[in-house]
Amino acid sequence: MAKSFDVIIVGAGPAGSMAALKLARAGLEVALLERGTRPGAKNIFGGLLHNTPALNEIFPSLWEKAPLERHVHRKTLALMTPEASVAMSFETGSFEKAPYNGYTVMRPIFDNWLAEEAVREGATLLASCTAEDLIRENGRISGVTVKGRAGELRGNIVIAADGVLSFMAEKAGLRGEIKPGHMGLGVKLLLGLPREVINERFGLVRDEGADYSLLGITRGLRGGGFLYTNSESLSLGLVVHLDSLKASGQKPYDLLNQACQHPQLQKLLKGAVPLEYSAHLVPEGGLRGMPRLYTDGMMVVGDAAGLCYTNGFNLEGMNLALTSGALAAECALEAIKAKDYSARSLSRYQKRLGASFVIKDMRAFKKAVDMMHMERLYAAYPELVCGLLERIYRAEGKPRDRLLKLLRKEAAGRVKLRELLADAIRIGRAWL
Amino acid sequence: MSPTREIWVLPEIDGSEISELGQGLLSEACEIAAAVGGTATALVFTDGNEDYAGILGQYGISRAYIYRHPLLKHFSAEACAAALAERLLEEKPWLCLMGDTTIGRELGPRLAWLLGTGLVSGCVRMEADPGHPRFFRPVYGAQAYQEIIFTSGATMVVTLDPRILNINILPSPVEARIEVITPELSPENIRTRHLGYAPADFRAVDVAEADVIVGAGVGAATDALLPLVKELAELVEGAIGTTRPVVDEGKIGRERLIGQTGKVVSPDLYLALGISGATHHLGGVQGSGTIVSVNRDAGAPIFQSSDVGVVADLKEILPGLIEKIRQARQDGKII
Amino acid sequence: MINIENITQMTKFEIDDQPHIILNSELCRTCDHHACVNTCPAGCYTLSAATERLDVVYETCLECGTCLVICDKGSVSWGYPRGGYGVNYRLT
Repeated sequence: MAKSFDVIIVGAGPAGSMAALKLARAGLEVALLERGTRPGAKNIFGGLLHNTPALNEIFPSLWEKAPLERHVHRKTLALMTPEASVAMSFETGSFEKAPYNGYTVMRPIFDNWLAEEAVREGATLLASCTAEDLIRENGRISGVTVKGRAGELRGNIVIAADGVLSFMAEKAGLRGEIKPGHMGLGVKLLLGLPREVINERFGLVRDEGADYSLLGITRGLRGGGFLYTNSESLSLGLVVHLDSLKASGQKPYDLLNQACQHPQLQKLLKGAVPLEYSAHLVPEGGLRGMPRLYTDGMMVVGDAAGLCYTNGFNLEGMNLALTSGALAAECALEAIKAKDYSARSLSRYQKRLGASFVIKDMRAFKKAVDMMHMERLYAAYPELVCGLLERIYRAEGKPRDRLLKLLRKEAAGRVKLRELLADAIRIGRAWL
Repeated sequence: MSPTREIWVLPEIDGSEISELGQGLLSEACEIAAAVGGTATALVFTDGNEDYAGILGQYGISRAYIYRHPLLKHFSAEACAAALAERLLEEKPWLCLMGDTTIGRELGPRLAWLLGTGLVSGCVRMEADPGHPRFFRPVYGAQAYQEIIFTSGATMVVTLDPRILNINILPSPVEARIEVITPELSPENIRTRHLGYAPADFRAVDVAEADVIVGAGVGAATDALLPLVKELAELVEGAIGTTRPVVDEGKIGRERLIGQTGKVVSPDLYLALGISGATHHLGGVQGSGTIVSVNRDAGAPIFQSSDVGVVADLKEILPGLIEKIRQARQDGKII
Repeated sequence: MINIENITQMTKFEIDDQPHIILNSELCRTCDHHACVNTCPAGCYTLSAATERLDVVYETCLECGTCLVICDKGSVSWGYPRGGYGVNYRLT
């Protein structure tokens, strides 16, 4: 049967649309499938779009063209207990000029824009099309079928950009069953708040933005919270490891409601109006949790490839997705020029990805994944630090103890010294 | 196959009038014929005696096969296919055109099957190349177009999207050669029988558009009470709506489900019978003008959202209510 | 802030008439934890105390896949809804 397109891309998220854009620009016939009514209709993230060379290459003045919310001006890491919190905030003048270090975006709006840019370059967007199965011919993947619609979409190469659950990668035999320990459930509430109130309350000027990582907000469950400022809204959410959530018997929306009630967060959320509630899985398996990335006729990009990590300070996902999409496009183009769509030809993708910051970072911080399984991080340590600081700061008109004694008092019942040392080494290994 | 490219077209003629669709199809067939140096033949299936020579010639039709038989009074794909089969297989036209209508979609596949050829349905463009014409149809919600060519050399069977047709009446009509054929048809060969036409009525109206809705919840949708509920709905000329548990039990169709996961309605009057008022359901009726509820349970949440609440057993209250309303209507009181 | 019963007031869903989640109730009966009930972020799963039957409401599914991943009995048949159906985020 005649082929319909040169490349078929399943999923019009950042990775898919980036690949489509580059391929269309190079003159290829590209089909970009999207199961939502529009690209982005099925997508959520925390989150931040970090400064990404692959994106800047195509859009040199991104902040003028793309629908961005705020550029991140101040980053805050907070340790939280039910009553207290301690935060470390960082801001620098060097993050205050273009190209900015990171932006908050609304995914249904941004993803739609990026896909439209791909369409402008000549890609064919097929919205409201859920890919159902892969087509194989001569031992090679050569297309997809669409759920509920007749016909086959055939191409020389299929790029699976279908997100964290990637049924395409599964059907291609590139990944096995998803393990609960490799996934985090993110739940998010978008809260409307007028721009001036946000600026006033968060100490921001014009379209500067604030970014909060909240450790300990999940009440002992492995995970964390986030709070980002958009132009006229706040993104508040939690990510919890699925196995931890299951063991706790708690409901994700109850956890989120409790977070909203936290005394310090309440002040920040005052008067905010709930606009939208969303949830999505986040790949948390690190390098080990990634599927295989290519086979005859197919490459896997973005969340579908498990390209997502956090080391406590950096939370990366969208930038990795965009970069992987760009690299897959380059490799697809070369493969099509050479008329070689075999696994061997497409293995170039893995090599290029491996040579880029994407895999290098996944590898560098693979121990961070293990570190994240340290239970004490989520309740005991935030309580320890907050408790210690409370002892340090409390005025009672009684003689003060010195630091080590205070530490011993606070640690008592919470963590033994050797446990503390072991944890410190584990954290050190993850970061140093 | 004959050396001239013959294009057969079905203009769906009913009686002596040709609809706009039919005129469009005839014009299209003649246009293609002119482009490829072929001839256009019209097919008519009828039980009457009309003479079509005059009207067909206006469009450029030079030949027509009029199939006449009492069993062709109402359209039947089986009958038409059976009638046409002999000529079709004998002459094997180059192209067979129909509208992408219920008629074309029913008859097209049968003709394609008879000819052992393929069918292109919903075609929106044709490139009438005398060698290998190309047909285009929208796919994936018209976000892309499929280009189709017939490769086997057999007759091409195509249904055309009516929206692309244009009517073209020739300044001077051609003479159409008419051949009337009486096919051999018997009722035994035709498995469907036309019984009649049924007009649409208010009972079939979409519950989301209704001005008056009678909601039947678990308490009202029992075997004993449902007929009474329907009677009440008739009297108030209301559409029947329902709740999830009733749909799950299969008592009332899903299309009548009112609630957040069903339809959101805003009638002037919503009569909630035996509905407890779970938030899912209430979310679907909050836009209503007046909500009147009847429920056995005084603590049912629905009473908090109702304008008028009646704590009563439907078994006891419904017959009386129906009687009162019937009386009020007879007396000319408007409800 | 979030009343999960009123999820459709916060989030838009295009509801298909065919479910994209099907449960094997026989297998559900063998389950001792029913983790799906608590972990679903949209509260789609309910365990009826009376009938001990596990039900799922696919209409307000946020399509995260938690239930698919968390079920260890293989009871959940889960695929994305047909194109254009299911959750339809406007902003997030």
